Amino acid sequence: MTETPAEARLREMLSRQTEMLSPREAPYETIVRKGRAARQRGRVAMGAGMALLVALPGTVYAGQLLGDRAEVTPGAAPGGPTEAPASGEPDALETTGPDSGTDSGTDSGTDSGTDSGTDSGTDSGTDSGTGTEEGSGPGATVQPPSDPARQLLDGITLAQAQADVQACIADHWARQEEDEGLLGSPGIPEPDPEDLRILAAWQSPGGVNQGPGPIRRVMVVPADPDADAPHNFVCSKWPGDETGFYGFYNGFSTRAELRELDMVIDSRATARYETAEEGIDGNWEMPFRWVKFGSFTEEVEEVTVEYGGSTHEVIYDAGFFLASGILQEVPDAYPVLKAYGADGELLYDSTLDPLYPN
Amino acid sequence: MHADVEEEFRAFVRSRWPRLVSTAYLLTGDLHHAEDVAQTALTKAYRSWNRVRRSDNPDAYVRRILVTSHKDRFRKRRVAERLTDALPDVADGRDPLSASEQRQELMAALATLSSRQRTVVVLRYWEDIPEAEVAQALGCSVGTVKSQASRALARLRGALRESPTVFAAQGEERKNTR
Repeated sequence: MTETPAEARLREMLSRQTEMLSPREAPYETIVRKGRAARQRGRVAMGAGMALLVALPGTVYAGQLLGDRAEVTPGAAPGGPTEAPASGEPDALETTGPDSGTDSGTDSGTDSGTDSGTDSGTDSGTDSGTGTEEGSGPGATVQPPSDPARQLLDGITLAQAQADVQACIADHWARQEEDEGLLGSPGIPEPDPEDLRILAAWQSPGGVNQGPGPIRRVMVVPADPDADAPHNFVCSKWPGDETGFYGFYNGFSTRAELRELDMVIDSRATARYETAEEGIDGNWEMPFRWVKFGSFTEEVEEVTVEYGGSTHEVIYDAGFFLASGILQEVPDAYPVLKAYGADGELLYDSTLDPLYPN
Repeated sequence: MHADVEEEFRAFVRSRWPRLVSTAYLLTGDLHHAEDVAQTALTKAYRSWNRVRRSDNPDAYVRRILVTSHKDRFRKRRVAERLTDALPDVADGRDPLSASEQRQELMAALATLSSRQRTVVVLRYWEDIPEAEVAQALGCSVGTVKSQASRALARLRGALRESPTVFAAQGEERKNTR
């Protein structure tokens, strides 16, 4: 590769810059001590998760969906704070935007109107599934979301979500073998759970096609946004289903696919999770938990989501954006999605997209 | 961790520490922050050492952890980029004032870059790793690395052009490129 004089000079300057550095000796003992502690915490967390699964008879459910209106921070104890940081307040998370591919989040507005924002419900209600616990175990190593408090909604625990994914993978790929790919994902190899990250978990309303809810959903994405294998899918667990059947949906674009399609954001990835089944005029089960997420390319610096009269907090994780809320009233329009570039230029506006239901 | 594996990790830390700190220094602009980031990266590497050591390129793996740790730190704590207080000793006979001034000016110029541009510059021109690997470390495309590098160079050129101590060197560069 040819190098310009400017590049050569920059190399030289960077090299000189570090010549005089005299760092302290490598703090090996500290590194090992902290590394061991981190490992220990991981084991304790997994053990606690398992203990929780044993202690809770599968009764976790979003209080909002059953009428309990106590609002808590997702994943936090009931009665916790409900508000995300105000948008006008500078936040460390705002300095980077979504391009990191890992965790960050920005509050792009305020929650008001008919929607209760990203808050989750309380733990109460009916069993949202069985069989999950059997699927959990030492192999349940799907990576947690970057910000569990805002991504594990409706009181769903990390251990539950991990166990759901583990069982879902086993169920789905076993089914694929049995059915010679008719129901599975032909050509897509079974993923290593460690390469996956939970993007979101939530309790979804039921419907005509879906059956009665609440349906526990867990969205999983590759931990590496540019991974080759399109392992991004939603596992669904129906309440009271003793068969261990897990729904599986993977109609999401990867970053690579977006680039091939010359798109910057996957605007309709979650069509089935953001409105009632028949769309905006469908039969809504209220209150209605909606989620909107999708992949985006690195050109995108900020994503905004407006729905139900409110602008919603957007979280960025592993190359995906995520927004969610609970509608108390039937909205009169589909979610409005916008994507902005580094200089604030508008890269995508769903209201101008002829393929988007406006 | 078995004793032999632990010894392997110890050797890795010992041999890579200076380079990791240097890279982190160019990313952060502060030696103490750099040591913290390098330590965090190695702590994470220790936690997943079996996975790291089995990877095709443990150095690239740890470098990626370092970049991620820096990004996380920058994001979560809003670490203000600042120049180091102490001027480093000079031992090579070059004009000490000019050398140290140039170093400060370079750090000031680097501070004008976005976090991603700065990371691209450091990985591409200091670590000298291929664009594809930079893309992998940043979780972006090779095209983005190219464009970010191009923009970063343009911005650095502008920032350093205003620098009196670097200006002469830039004059030479222009002559050489004719």
